Amino acid sequence: MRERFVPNPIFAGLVGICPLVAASRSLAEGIVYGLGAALCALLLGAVVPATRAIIADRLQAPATIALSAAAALAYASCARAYSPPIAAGLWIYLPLLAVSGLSLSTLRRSSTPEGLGPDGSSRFAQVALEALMFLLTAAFVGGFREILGLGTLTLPTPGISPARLELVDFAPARMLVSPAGGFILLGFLVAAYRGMVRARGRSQP
Amino acid sequence: MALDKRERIIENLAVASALGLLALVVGVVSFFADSRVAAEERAALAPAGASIALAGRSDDPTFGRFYLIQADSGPAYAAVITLRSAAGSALIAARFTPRGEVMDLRFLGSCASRLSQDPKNLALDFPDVDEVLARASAQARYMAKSGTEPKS
Repeated sequence: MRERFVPNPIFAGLVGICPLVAASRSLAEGIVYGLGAALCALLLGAVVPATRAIIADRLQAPATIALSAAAALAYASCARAYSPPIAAGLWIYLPLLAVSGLSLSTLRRSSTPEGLGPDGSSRFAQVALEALMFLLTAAFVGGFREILGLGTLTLPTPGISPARLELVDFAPARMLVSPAGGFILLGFLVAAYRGMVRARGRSQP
Repeated sequence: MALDKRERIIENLAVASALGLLALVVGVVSFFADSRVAAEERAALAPAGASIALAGRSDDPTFGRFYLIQADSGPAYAAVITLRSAAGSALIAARFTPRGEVMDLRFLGSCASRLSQDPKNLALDFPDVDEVLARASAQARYMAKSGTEPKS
């Protein structure tokens, strides 16, 4: 039996990397952004296949995009209530979760009639695994950038002033917090991931 | 096969109802989230012993609500202002006199930035801070002149 392998959507599939790099400049932003993308994908993965029976094919696309937009807007409101500074940092990228790479790939996958993937696993299980990997990777990328770039670690605590650990009293490489630095760092992480996957003899997309 | 007129109407009504339901859900969530944000802003802006009431709203993306604070020293307008730049984002509490002059600025919180928490150095991290404060100041002056009754 072929062993099941779901590649990391960010490092292997490069899914949603532009908003991720622009938005996730700290651990807190990475967690809040990744959680939003994961929850939207889970909702779409659970609801869209069920709507195929009740919504006509020609209305599927606008209906699912409307559902995605509603989920993203509701999540953005919750994030703003939870922590206004984190939501302010994520800015337009919270509502844009509606059309994030992860949401769109989930929509595409869920709109096919087959409920099973090529390896026999359920499509929702694959969506859930990808969503979890997206959340963990976004948190990792955000935290890594913040530690290397600013020497701090911002925790996603509720309220108007998130808790922050100051690891060193200077910013080691402030450029890593900028989008350009984020892309450079992500490039190295992608290379490391692909090298690791190849060393273990897995196929990659 | 083409749908007849009656089926089309039913389908359109069903889609409109579903979209209305989604809008309702988003509206309810936004309402509760907005109430919580407003409560936090009031707590952050009101000095001890002063009364605070909503004075008005603004469409400016950097400040949403303006509050009227009645303290022993006299009335003042206040708002929580969001600043953004390449350095990061921060929330500051700003108080204005009814003539629109800035009374004081207070750093409330930030995310992903190693910012100076001294309001005098805000321009180092946020070059457009003076422009934002000028707009907020004009809003305070406008509300004082228009004499809008504060909302409780």
